[in-house]
Amino acid sequence: MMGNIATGPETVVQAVGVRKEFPRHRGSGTIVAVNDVTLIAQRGESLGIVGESGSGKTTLARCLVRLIEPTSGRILIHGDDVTTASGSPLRRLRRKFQMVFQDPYDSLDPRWNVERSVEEPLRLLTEMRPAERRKRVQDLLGLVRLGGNLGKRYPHQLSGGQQQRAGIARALATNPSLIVLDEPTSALDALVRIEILELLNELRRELQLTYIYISHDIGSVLKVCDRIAVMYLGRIVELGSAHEVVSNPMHPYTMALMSSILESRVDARPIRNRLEGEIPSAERIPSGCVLHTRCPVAIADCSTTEQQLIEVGPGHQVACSRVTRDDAIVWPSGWVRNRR
Amino acid sequence: MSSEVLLSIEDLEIRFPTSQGEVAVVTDVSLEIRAGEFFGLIGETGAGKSMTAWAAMGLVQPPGRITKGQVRFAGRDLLTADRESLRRIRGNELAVIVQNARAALNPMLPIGTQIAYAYRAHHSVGKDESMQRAVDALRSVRIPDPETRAGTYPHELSGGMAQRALIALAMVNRPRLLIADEPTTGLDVTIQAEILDLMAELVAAQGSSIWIITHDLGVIANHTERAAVMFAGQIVESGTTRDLFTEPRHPYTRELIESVTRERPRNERGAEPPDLANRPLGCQFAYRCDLVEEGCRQAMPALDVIAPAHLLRCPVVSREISPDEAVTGT
Repeated sequence: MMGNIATGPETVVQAVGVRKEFPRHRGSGTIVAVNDVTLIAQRGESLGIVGESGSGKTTLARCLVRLIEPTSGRILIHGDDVTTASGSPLRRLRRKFQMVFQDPYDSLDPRWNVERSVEEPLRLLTEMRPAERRKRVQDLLGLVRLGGNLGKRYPHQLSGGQQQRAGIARALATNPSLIVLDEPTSALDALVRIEILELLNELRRELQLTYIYISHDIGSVLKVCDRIAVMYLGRIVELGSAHEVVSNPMHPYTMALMSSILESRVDARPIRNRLEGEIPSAERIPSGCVLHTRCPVAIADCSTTEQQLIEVGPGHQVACSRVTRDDAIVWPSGWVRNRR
Repeated sequence: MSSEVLLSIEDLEIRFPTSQGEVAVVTDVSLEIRAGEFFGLIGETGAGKSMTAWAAMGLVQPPGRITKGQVRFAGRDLLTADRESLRRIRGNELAVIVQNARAALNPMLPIGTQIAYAYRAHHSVGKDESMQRAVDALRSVRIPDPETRAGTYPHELSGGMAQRALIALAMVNRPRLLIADEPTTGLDVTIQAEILDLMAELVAAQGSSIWIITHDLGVIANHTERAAVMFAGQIVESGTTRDLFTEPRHPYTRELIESVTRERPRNERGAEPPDLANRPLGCQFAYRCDLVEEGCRQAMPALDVIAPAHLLRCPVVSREISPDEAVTGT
């Protein structure tokens, strides 16, 4: 459907029809964690991927940096196919894309000090000499503001925020153009979180980085991302500018998701768009539209017809034929379509 | 507010031994929760908020110890109460829910049985009646098909369903105060919103009070009437939730609230947490405060009453608000 989205010299990452299946725990067959995901991100752009547990966002992130192999579909980074590369060509490609993980402590080697951890990708992926590497490590630590003797410390001697700075410095070591960040601030307290988000914005501006930012925290996503993709049960159900998706959501799932965010204001108008029941397990993904079992405006057709992303405005796509075709939808009473 | 004081904590201090000597993780904490009130305690990791709540339930375990203070619940002193008195209060008049409900429930027993046990611990009824109460409790938290679900084990439940079951367990004896320690941390946002609404609804319907402990400002803003802010084991500001969010006074509260409500330049001194093992003499926030003055580092500021029901531990701001009268509380 969307294999022909416009790409150009500024395109950093292009994923087309990415699908990832895992074998079932019990019995035969597979479960589909990511289903037909197509997306693109340009140089300097930050794309947020939001969704709840089980939406497939982390699996997608891991596919994008080839920590796992997608079952089908293609992922191009600067035009190079990372889904088929292997061995030393893949290693060369890895310099261009790196990942920052959710738990900053667990993702650092406890036996290495920060300098050693940050140096590791330089040892593995570049030909730099020891002296060059040491110089680069110091530059990187300066970039993420881990000054003084913090570089000599071990992970357990650092605060959560400092650990995550080390994780970011390590991701930046090989001068990548794409950074995939998987819930990088979910383990951090509010004020440290803001510091890290501001650091990420600064680095993106200065280094023209492209971010794929995975999170369930819409507040963080809004601070860091230009565009948002909303995932539900392995599929992107809505994609658009961050402002549009948050303030004018079109997909019933996005409307429910956005209404659940508790704003840190005492005068916020409470909106409660509630979906029926809970997110089904990945073992029992509904046929047709993945939301139809919980959707307040589903009709018979929704249980049989798979939904495709349809353009509803500039760069704004929605996978719901009810809202894209039918302007006479009767929403449940109390349902609020947008926050404005 | 004129309703009776249900829980009062006075001048509480809790100490824990560490490799750097004994550290006061909570110090000089006083607070009151009234009947029917929705109260919130905000703070970051290590601020001492959960420890304060544990003290209120008599759950501070060695090597931690309460070195000072008083905790009174409905007129009874909880810190000197014997085991049997505590048993009668906890799980009955005073209930708690925590984060990660699946871990809080007994993995070996069906949820209905656990709730029935909790009911029978405080009521002399037979098995059938207590099980009926358990099913009713599961129905009240909107668990579908409660008769069948009563027979399921915690591992068979989703995180959201387990949290509902834990609420049913806490509410089955109609407690006068529900302590909710990070009740929705770790749950997805749509589930979090439902759980909080449900909890608030049940507590309000029973005329009980709730004490929500969280780092999530959104939870406080939407679900409490009054709140206190903790920093480095102390309360630095307390007031109505409206006042705290619209007119935060303490430099730390302002940093916290403004970090989420509007664009604000980052504090150049960073947001690193304080070192509790090396407490400074004066204000604990001085090391990264924009308003710091000479005097701040010399003596511990007191909690001043700056408006009715609004307390502030910052002499610099207090003086700005009422330059002529030096109002000093405790």
